[in-house]
Amino acid sequence: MDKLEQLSNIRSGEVNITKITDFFETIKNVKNIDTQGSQEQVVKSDNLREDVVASSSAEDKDLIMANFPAKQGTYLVVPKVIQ
Amino acid sequence: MSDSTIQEIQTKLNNKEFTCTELVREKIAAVKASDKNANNSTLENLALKQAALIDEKIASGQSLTGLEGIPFGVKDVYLVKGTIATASSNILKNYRSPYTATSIQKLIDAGAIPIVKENCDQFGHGSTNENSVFGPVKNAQDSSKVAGGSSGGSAVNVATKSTVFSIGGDTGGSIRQPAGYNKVFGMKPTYGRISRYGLMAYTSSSDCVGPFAETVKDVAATLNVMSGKDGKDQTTVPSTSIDLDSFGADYDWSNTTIGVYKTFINHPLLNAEVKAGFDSLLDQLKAKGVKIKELDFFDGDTLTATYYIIALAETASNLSRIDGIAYGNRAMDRDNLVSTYLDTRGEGFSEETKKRIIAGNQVLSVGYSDEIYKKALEVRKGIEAKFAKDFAKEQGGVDFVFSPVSPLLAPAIGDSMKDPVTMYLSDMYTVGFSLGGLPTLSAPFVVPNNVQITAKKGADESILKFAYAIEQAI
Repeated sequence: MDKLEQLSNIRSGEVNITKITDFFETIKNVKNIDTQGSQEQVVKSDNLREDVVASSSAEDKDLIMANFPAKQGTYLVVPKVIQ
Repeated sequence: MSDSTIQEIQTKLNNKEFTCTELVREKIAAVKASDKNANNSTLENLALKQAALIDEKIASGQSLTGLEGIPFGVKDVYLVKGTIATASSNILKNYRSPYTATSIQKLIDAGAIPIVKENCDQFGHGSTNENSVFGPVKNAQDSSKVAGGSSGGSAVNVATKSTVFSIGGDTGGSIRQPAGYNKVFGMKPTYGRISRYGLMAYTSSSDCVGPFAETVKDVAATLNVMSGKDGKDQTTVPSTSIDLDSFGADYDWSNTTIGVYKTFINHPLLNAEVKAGFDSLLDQLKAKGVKIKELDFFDGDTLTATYYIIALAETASNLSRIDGIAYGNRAMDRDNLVSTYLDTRGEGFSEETKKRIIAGNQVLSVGYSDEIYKKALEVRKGIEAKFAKDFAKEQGGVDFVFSPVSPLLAPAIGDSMKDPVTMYLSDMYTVGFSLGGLPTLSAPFVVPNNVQITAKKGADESILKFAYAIEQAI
């Protein structure tokens, strides 16, 4: 299997990414980048909200359960992990 | 024409010219009757319940204020609790939102009424709204042309008056360009002004929530409601409310300088008609005393490459969570977990989305990460630094940068699928401002496409005041 398919967890079929990867050459060829004056775009970690335990309403739980793709009675069905 | 459609409708509701229930029914009927393929689903029950509450308020003798009673549309990448949110994809075709996005909740709390989930490019991946499992959205003015994207359905609904305003999402131009192709206002605010909580993530470092509307004042009114810090989105920033009452005061035209990027207006892809319309607007502004200054900037190819490399990497990471295990349509009865993942995602995502995820994983892999991804981040810093210099007014900088929203006219439906490179390059005028996190308004002041008005970070109000002055003057 193609390594990128594996990395992406996608069976991609005939998907062709060569047009997009042309951008890679463009970026490689950019020279003399002046970054003086740019502001850091990082998320500050000095103003975090407190962790608060909150219980979900029955309606919220129902919505989450309704989205589960496969169920058998009250069990949630997941793909087989151990061969 | 009134300078606020929202105010005009609210006045009629207060004067009991029609009820809110009648208004909502009329808008939902328009949405259903539309032949533009702009909508994925209606929110009829929710909307009619809210409309009834508004009617009770009017019946009790109270007047509506703010956004009370105003029907609006929501791009189908936002969560509205209990309703389907598909991102125009197969994989989430039956996904029911477990909560409501902060921005949408704020609008609902202010009395606005969501009536429809709008067609868009899948997960925001596209500039023509052809990458949708529900089919392409047709342009409001010419059904043979694309609506633009990714928020095409939202732009078309406002242009056809099916909604009073609509909420789109803009990562690299997804509000501004469809606003231009459909001749309405569309705003990408300063990055972080509006919470992204409940917006399905495409490129988290440049995703922005923003409105489409018919007038500048309506853009400002909706921004005011949605803005503000949110504990659920650590990238939100504090902002002050836009003072709508100060709009319309005499504008100081002669103390205003507009920058124009030479690399944009001299690019070979720029359509002659688009250029002529843009030049004509600049001439009208010059006649009012505005100064125009030509500026150097990165070329369109570099901007587009930088944006796409970062966007690919982030979307590959963001969409890795959608695998059909806890939610989403799962490929059933596969032999093992790996096959389940491969087929779930292979069948659930469109070709364009698969392309972006796979290329994004390549960008992030050993051998590419340093040379490509980190280099793109460095170029992004260079773009931010250039903006900081260009908008430093005290050092001879400009107040605003003007540009067309796209070098091209809206293409015919089907053409971009044959030539995706041109589609990517058509984003060259919008992506740079996204990388800088700058506020940008797409305004229908020129033909055939909109003009894009950009200012420094946090100067959303300055843009809207200037745009209002132009709206009233031309």
